[in-house]
Amino acid sequence: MIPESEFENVLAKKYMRTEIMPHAFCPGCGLGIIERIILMAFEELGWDEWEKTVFVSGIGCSGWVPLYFRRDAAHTLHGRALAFATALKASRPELNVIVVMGDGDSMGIGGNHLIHAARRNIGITAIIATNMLYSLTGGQMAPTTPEGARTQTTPYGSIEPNFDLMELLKAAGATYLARWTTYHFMQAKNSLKKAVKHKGFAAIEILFQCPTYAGRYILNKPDPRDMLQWFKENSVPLTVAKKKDPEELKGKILVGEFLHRTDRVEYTEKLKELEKRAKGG
Amino acid sequence: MATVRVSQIAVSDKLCKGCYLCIWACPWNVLEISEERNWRGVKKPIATKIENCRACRLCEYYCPDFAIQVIVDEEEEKKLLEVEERYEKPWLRRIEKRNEIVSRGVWWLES
Repeated sequence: MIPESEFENVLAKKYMRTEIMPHAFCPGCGLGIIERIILMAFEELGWDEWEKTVFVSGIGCSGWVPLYFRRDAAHTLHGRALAFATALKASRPELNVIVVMGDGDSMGIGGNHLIHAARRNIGITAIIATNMLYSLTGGQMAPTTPEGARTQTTPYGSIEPNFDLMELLKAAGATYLARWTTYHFMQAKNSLKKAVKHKGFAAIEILFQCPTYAGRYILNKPDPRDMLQWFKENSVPLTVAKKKDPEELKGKILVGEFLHRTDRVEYTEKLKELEKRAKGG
Repeated sequence: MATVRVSQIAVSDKLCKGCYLCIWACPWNVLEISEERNWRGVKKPIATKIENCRACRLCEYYCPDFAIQVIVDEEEEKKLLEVEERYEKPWLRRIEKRNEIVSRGVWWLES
């Protein structure tokens, strides 16, 4: 028997800074599950992949995710995580650059960087943790807040329709797209493994439970267990959704692997070619 | 009957925040909320029916704070492997042999 005061999880012991844990997230916050998804993917990919991985994060609750890993991480300006990551990937193309952003960070403040990174098709893996509002600052409306939802800044219900990130990035030119929730952690892990190996811009949107703000304001479910149950009941896989009417799917979360293209050339490969041409080779 | 005997489901005193996602995730109702609070003021989950545990590790996967770990008894696992070696492997080999013969076709009709 291991005494419970000295006990440490096996995965946490191998990859995380356990001396600064427990982490700063609220009880039941899904960002811990996203951390576990990342670590489980790298546990299967192997130590060599983990050694050449760099994490970049923006501001927000999701900005804290890579700071608990025993790996190099950059905590950049609000919304500018992808701009930093683009420069990093262009200068060191052999690295796996993984960007962890929130929904307000990636679509609200850094929306321009997101679509242009997808347009260039640069080999970055973007993990977009969506909780449907700005949770660090107290529950303000974000671009992903569903229409009619009550938040701190929309007390009479939001009148704006929300973003569909998958359609946006598909049009912008990304080459790997997937959306899962924290309920589907195994599928999300498999998608992340594919995305890290993929050459080109890969984005994975993971909806996670925020019981403190999204649970209390938007869904009226302040318990994380109820929120995970809601994810389970309201998510529809793409293969099932094809057979259903669009009216039935209103208010549901479509989950699955949306896109996997291999016909576009990656940005850093083009950059190498350009360098050769400019030197006259 | 459980296939693997679990010796302990360890819940960290330092890390557990008491969200009870592990209790929600467990399909066999192994865990329950304890009645006492620990030094952090959290009513930790405790494994009351550990004999039901199948080591599926869903509680581990859904724990956001890396606070829970299912510890499988190593000796028990070795014993199970021995049983497999002694009784199940020859049986499997026999099935494989039969499948091989069937896949080759019905030899007495062909010749």
